Amino acid sequence: MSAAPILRATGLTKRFGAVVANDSVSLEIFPGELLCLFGENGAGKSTLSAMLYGEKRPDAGRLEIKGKAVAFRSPADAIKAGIGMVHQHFVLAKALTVLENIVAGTGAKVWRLDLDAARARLAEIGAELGIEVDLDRPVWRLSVGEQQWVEILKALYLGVEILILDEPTAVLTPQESDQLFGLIGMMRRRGLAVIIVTHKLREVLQADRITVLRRGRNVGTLSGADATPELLTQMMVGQAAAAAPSAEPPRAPGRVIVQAQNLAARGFGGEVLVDDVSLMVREGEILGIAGVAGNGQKPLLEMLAGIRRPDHGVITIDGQSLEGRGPAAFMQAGVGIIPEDRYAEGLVGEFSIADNLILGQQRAGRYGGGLFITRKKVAENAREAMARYAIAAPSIDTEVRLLSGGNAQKVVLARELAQASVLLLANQPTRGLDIGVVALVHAELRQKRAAGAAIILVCEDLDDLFALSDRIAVMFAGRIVDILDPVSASRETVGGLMAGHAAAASNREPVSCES
Amino acid sequence: MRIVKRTKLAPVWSVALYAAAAVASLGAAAALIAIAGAPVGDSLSALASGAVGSPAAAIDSLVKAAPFILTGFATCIAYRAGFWTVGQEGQVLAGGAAAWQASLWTSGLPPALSIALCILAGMIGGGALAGLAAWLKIRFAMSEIVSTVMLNYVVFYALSWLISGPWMASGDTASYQQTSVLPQDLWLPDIFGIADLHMGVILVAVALVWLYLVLSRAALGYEIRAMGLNATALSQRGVSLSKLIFKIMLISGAVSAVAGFIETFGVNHRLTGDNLSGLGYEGIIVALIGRLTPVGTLLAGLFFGALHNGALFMNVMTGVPTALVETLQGIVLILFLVVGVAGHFRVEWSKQP
Repeated sequence: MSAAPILRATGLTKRFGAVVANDSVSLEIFPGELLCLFGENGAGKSTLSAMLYGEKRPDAGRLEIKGKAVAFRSPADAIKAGIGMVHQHFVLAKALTVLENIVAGTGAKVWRLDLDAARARLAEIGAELGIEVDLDRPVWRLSVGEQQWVEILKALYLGVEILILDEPTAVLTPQESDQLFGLIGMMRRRGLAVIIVTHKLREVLQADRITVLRRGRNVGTLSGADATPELLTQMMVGQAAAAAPSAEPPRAPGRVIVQAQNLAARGFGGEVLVDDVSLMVREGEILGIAGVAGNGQKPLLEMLAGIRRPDHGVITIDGQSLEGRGPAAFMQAGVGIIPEDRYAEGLVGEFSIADNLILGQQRAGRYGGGLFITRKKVAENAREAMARYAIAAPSIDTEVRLLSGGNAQKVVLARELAQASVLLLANQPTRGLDIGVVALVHAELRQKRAAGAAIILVCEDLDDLFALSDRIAVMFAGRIVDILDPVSASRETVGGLMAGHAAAASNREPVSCES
Repeated sequence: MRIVKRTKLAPVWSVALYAAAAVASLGAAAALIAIAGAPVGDSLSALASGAVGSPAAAIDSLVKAAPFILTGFATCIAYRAGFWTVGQEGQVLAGGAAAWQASLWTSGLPPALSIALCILAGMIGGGALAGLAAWLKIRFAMSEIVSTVMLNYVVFYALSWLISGPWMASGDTASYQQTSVLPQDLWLPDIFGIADLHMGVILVAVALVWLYLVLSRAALGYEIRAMGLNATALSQRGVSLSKLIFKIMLISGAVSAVAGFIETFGVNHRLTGDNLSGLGYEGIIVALIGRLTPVGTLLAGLFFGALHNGALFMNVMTGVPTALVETLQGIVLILFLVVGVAGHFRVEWSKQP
């Protein structure tokens, strides 16, 4: 390892409105090194790698490549400077062959592509790294792992010296992951610097150095030799003094609102999303669900809202079995959901605030009963909601796409709190919001609980979960691995369960997580 | 130089952009006429006087525009929901054919009742054809673009067979693909006795008001617009997209079918393939130029109805082929689409860092 870093970032800062996604993050990387960016979802890993790759411009800070300051305006600049990136979702043209995908957009001589020269160079790179992939195969016929190789080949073909891999194993089988790490080893021996972005402990421990991000800040960089799963989890979830658990005195257990038994869901590719989950929540109770994103929380909530049909299992809401029913029936039963992605799933961006507030209620009796919508009632409802939730907007007719994230979330909140008469499902309700709105969301959730509703709160932020939940369930790999009492459980225990650490120890999952 | 997305376009700029597009279209028309070797000034004036130069010309233009506007409305309903049907063409034919069949079945009834049943039959025919495409989409996830294009051919050839066989006018040979003339009491009556201004035009006015109210005021219109803008959010809020697609297509197909009905009962007075061809595709263009709004579609439909009508006169006067109108239509469509997109961006000139 040479003494001079090939890339050095100092004080990189990126804000989105009031939200600071990266707060003065510094890091450096040396040739032949494997650096890991580790942290929870929302910790700022993606923003940081996007800045390194020229997809986002930092608001402040300095980036140097081989000692020279650079300011990327686009990924094209980053590639010229020798930085490549493989995204979690591949950007390949499926109908084209491997070769065509790789040479697309690279140094064509005006009209003609020199495919033979490209083929020779790729064969050379492939042989050197032990990648065997048929260059003439259309990409759609490749396995996911092979597609990733194509992405890597694409970067290497461009002659990059620093390769960023964003969540590279998220879509891979364990065998493919092992192959990938073999490949990374080969690349490092060629002097390439590799940055992987991940939240999986197992991968982190293979890195030379680990930079841990939490809430947009670099909370420390340690060498792989010094790292232990315990230490990393602690850094990842933070050591803030445990917030006071919900102040309310424990109530007598109320009636059961939601009962789910043996729920299972599979994805399009047959992969297991939710694996035999049973849960029960009573009135006036908040069940927090901790877990790293992608461990089944979203499909679980979708099943509980009737949006996704379970492949197996039964859901009873307020004593009523809703087997085989769709979202309309769940809404009828009094279920509301605050979706994870408010713009993609919760709102119609080009609709006004007033119209978004009645989404799903457009045929309800109070708005006209199905034929014409009574605009006066819609406006009344909107004015009330804007006042009650202090939605900052010029008028009720403002399109929600023009609102800030916090105000858009208030629109969802207003609608779904009114909808959720018995059960509220909230997926990351405070993600990306500033402190004022976070406090409002918390207050509203507490009030809803006090009013007797059951609440299931999915959240990656342990502070929030500990502050709000009556019980905390931890999800990992589609299962609820444990349900804990926030008063007695430690954050480290929860963090370890989230990272799959303790789950491995209890032999639930064959994850090799040596410590 | 960078191209930046803008959040709001001042109305005055919007108007200016569309005016520029209109002027450019006029320039293109002049250029095309010149290329065709005709005198530009004379041809354009013939075009204008043939379109709106006299009350009779204006009425002809209006009647010409009526089916475009109806298929345009059918397009609005579907496209606002993000359902990219191209089946208006086939639905016009199916509507005309079903209405014709109904005229045979209802002969002997009072004419007014018979006409009403013919409209109804036409709408059922067009709606059923559109419903088939909706079902293919829902059941087999078949692209509505592919299924409707294919069904257009099926209907076109089925109709060709009907009017050169079972429905062929007696005494004709198969080279005349047409039915015999409708009994005169089934012809759509003229409004206020004005020659050629048939009652079908009133149906267009009714459709305009209805579509405007549905899109702006009704729960169904709310769902149509929400589906077009964010179908995921809508379906997660309890609206069944399958049912909605069915509803939308039944309505859209029925509206297209009315175009086939009024052409058959109000203009041609017999069922022919030639006179119904192209009305559906015209509606798509008209609706897109009208930005998928009822009033915009009405205006675009009137404009192109007038152009088509004027082009006939221009052809007679200066020999410019009537195909000019179709070429021009393509140019206007492209220019309007470009303007529609361009209005969302602005160019920012800045010094390189």
